[in-house]
Amino acid sequence: MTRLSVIGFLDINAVIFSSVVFIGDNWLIAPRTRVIAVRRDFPSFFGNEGRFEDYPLFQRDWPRLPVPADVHFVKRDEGVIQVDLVRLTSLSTSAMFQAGSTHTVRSESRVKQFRQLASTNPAAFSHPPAPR
Amino acid sequence: MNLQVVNKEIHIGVIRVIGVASSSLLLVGDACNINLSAMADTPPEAVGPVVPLAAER
Repeated sequence: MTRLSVIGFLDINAVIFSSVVFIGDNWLIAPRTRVIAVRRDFPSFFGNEGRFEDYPLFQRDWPRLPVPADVHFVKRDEGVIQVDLVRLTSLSTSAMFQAGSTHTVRSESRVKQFRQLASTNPAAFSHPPAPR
Repeated sequence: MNLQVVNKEIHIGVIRVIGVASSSLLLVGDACNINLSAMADTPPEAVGPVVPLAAER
């Protein structure tokens, strides 16, 4: 991997949750994120909620992709990669932006969502209704 | 199988992206291996009353 990447202007706004911005060449990037996301109609949260071990989503194995057999690969580099302007609003949850070359990118994210909505079963609420 | 690739010069004007999320990659360059995985779970039973999740250990 010897090609040069040239970027004239780079503008990035937000980089969160194991995301990576890398300028230059590297060998390996492997970010990982585990998320338990809870949306409540009544916004009351306890700060220590959520146990990754309780949900099989965070334990199960990734499916393995078959490796293509017997591919003889030859490449020739004949020029630079040039981008005048990159404008990126946000990177989130193991996302990456790289200006440069890399050998391996291995990124993993697991997101478990919960929605605790008032409309599904109003009788089940012990909380007072939210103020208007 | 034989695979021959010639990387010529590339010139791009503007790349404008709102969001790169959940194990996605925006790469201006070359790579040998790219392996991006994401799992997401929002089952119907995730809709329910307000009960606190079990506390972390």
